Amino acid sequence: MSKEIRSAWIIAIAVILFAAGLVLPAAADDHVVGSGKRTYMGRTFPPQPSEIWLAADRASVREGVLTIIYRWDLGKQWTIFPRTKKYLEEPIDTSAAPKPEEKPAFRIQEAGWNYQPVYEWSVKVAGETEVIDGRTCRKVIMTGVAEYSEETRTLWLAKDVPIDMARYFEKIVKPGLDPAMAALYKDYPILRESLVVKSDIIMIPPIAPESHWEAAHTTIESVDPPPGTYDIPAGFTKAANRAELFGR
Amino acid sequence: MKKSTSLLIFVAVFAVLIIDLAPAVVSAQSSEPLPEYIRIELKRLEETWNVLDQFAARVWPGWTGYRDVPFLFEYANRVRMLVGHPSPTDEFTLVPGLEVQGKKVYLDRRAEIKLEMKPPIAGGGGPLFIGKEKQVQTVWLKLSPYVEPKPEPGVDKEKDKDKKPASTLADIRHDPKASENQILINIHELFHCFQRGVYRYRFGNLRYNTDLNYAVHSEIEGLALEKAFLEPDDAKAKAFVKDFLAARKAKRTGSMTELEANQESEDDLMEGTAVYSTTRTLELMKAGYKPLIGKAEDPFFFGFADVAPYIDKEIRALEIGRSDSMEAKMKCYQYGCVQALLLSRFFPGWQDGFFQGQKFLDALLRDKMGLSDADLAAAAAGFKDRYRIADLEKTHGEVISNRDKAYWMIQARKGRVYAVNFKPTEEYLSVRCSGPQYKLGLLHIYPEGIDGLEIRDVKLTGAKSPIVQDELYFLRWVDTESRPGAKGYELKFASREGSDVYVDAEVKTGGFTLKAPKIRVQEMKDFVKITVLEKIKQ
Repeated sequence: MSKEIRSAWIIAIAVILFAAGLVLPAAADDHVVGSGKRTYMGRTFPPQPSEIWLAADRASVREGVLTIIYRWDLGKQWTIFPRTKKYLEEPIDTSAAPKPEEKPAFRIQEAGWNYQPVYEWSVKVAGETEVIDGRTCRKVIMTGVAEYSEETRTLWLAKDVPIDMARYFEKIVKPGLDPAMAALYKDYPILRESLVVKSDIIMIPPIAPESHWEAAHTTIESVDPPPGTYDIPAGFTKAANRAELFGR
Repeated sequence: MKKSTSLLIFVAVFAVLIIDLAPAVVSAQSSEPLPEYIRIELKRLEETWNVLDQFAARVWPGWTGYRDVPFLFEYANRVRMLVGHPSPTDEFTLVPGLEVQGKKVYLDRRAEIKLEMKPPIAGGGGPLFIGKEKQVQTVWLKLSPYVEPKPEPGVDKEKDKDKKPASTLADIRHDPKASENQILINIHELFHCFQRGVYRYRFGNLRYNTDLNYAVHSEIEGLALEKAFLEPDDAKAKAFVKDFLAARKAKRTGSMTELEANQESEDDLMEGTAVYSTTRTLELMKAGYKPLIGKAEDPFFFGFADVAPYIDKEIRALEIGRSDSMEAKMKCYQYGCVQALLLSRFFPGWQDGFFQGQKFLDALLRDKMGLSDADLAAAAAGFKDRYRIADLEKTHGEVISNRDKAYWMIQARKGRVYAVNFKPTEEYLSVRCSGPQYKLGLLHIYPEGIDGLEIRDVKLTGAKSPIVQDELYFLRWVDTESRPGAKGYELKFASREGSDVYVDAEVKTGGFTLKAPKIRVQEMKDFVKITVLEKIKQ
């Protein structure tokens, strides 16, 4: 999976998972199932499934074929790759204060190669609502303009969802937000207080043709997870690094 | 892809042959004749297959299947043509009754604009995986009508015409306008498609800027390869190959990460063997070639009657490219090709299992020549005298120092940013600049500004103020004298659409003046983005 595709996936998943508000019975875990598809150069790629289980001290996040299990109780995360039947174990830093990001030393050899868009975002909360799978959703359009890139996210947000969205935000969505997006969520309570039930994202990068991502949730529930949901699957062996994990 | 891009950009020279074209082809079930440029394109494609039918097996063992690779042609008038694809995407419509040697032809004319596509048409591209139900590797080419280059400022063609010998027929024939060039590009891209079936691409494209150590040793690499290629005595030629390998080692030890070194060698392999495929094809043509088409089908096709200029072009490209202080990427075409040619000379049969073996050209040369680290160190010890390192350091040092100064000068400019987006024009920018210019990554820095650029009815006039081209399609200028609250630019227009789209517009800043048939102006907090929406005046 290319870096661009992967980051778009992360955005799609993050967007569709984000919301806040409802607090559910502590006994059950949150369960969100969805799928997303990408259209690029006239071709719509096969839908990619996503599935998230979230408990108080652990989570399992599956995007396509890759699953990451977060065990905050153990201070570890495991990245599971079925094709090689390997997993990669990495520590989770649970300290409250985030470490300052270490900038790599400047090399003139790399200058000018890695454009990273810095978006200026605007948000339009439409007045109309739409009922999707029985949930009343409000349409929100987020438009990002950078010097060389553009991105438009059309979201359908529902408040009436049976999961602990505050926990979703803290554990899964928030860690993936860049500062500009975090500020946006802070400024617009509707983004924090709702779940994105459906999303439609158009990305226009500087050079490549535009990509179109559509994602939706088919299951949003609070239930007991199957046994082993937060464990390393049987028969999987430990990889020393990412190259070994992916069989490169 | 990169070579083709450079070919597109360097489309040059003049001498137009005005020849009556053959009657346009009419598809069997359609009364609408195919446009002339499309008819010629299909003929060039047939000629490409004809060339490969005659030579592919001798160029590279096992090179078959080239007829099964679809082509996607994208034209500057936004017409797209797909040939031989098993699963076209929805935008394409089958041209009824038209087949090219059994291949179906599809057109997408939904976005066509009024832009005259007068042959010759030229361009470049690369392999892409596309398709609706079945995604297959397809040669994608982006093509535009030939544009006569504007003379450099200060050059009086009429006055200077006697200073150079008149163009020979051969010069005309390897002019980029000749269809031979486009056929060679087709072959180059088809070879890439072949490679990807037998070689596992591992490291990605080299994204690297030179430093002094790199530039000096890279030039020694090029010099040594050229000497090895031209030297008739095998023993002496092999000594130059050793110099090449020693220079490469010194270059990488001082300047490159392991990943960058692998990327460079992989680029040599991918692009070098693709250039080798066309060079070997041309060499084989010397012994006899039967063209399929003639002037009636394509007035810009000369039947590869004289292939020498095309072969010479590669060695001349090596001469020109090796001394470029700022270039790391484009050298792979010639450096890789010459390594492959030397392997063929000294180690016949090297191609058998080469791609499957996943070994680079330079590593294979070193292995086959049995060179140790000590051998290479001994060769490098003699560079000072044999390659005049002090002179090379002086020449490259000056350019690289100026480049770095320009980079930091651009980085230090603070103020309101103006980003001009030409991407919707779907054409590469050919910036005219009479002052210095430097390249770092995708940045092209013009520290004294630019003269201007044109894309059809879009005209941008520069000023004596630093400006950069970035990410292929953008110009970026910083107004260092901007003041908060002040508009900072003038905007004139004939009419307006919505809140930010302007028709027949002119934007004037301290760094440039842009005139375009239709633009969008977005005033953001930290920058103004001007997007050129139309390139043809309606």
